[in-house]
Amino acid sequence: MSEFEEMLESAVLRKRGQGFHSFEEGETIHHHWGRTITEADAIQFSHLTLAYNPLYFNREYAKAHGHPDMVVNPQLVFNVILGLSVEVCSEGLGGPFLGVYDLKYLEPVYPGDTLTAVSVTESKRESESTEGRGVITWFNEGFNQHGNKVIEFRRTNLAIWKGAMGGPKSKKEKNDG
Amino acid sequence: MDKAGIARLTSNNNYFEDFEVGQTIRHARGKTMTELENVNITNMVMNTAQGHFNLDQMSKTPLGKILCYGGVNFSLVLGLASQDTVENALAEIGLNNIQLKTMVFHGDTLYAYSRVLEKRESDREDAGIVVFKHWGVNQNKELVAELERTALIKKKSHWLEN
Repeated sequence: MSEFEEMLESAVLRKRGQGFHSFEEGETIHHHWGRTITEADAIQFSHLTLAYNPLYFNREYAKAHGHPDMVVNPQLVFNVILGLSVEVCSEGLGGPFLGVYDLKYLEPVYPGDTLTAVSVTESKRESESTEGRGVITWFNEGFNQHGNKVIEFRRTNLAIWKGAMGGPKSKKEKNDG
Repeated sequence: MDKAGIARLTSNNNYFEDFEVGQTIRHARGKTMTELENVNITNMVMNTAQGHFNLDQMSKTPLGKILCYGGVNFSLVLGLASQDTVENALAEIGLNNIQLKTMVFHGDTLYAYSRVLEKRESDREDAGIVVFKHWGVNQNKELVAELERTALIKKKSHWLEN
């Protein structure tokens, strides 16, 4: 056996994400990485989604409205805060995102600001009708480098740990803690 | 940039005074979702769920292809609706009841519709609050996403020179 073949056989899958049973109501999760939002991010996002408010891509227009710089499209702020939470709060659940509620944009974000994400597990409920299904709701918050909260929202996900969507999963493959 | 210079840059039919509760708008443009939107934005916001960017893995599931990330889907719907609804917004204040109804794949085309749900005064004289409901629809007229957006929108009385 070549080293390559031996390596393929012996490599251990390093799983990411966590399952329904390892979440606890009331816990606070500080998400990884953080993200500095650049001007290129902000403009590219707004243009790819056709978000036409000049505050998001015309610096002089934004300054004429009292901002120090162009404003980062709030939907990019949402997607970054959600994105930072995905590894812990989605990748191991095996089920889709069900909804986002009560989203508030609390402060403008500007190019150069650095965002971090925190989630609090608000509730989790196992389905009474279908075995191996559950619903989790988190309260998510995003902060800038000054510690000011720029966004908050509630997000609900379906968790599936038996007969996963997208094909059956063996018990061994599931990633519940 | 003076008042006239500001006003020249945006439309003059989407100020606070122009919206009426119940008004329903079909937006002019659609956009086809491709890797450029889905994979690019999913990766740039560090959404690590590989169902949105690993074709090999997805080809082994019953879906058989990459599933577009819902955050991109509804952001595109909000974008498609933006010129007619929030081009003259001073700020987007919030979103609510974001629901994703139909899966989106590369090659699907999204269109947007909006309805004015509510209009009210704000704590500033020069702008008022409008609540919109937005719908995203695919090329087969299936509902892809629906959500509500609240925005603080400039008043003509203060921002347009007569």
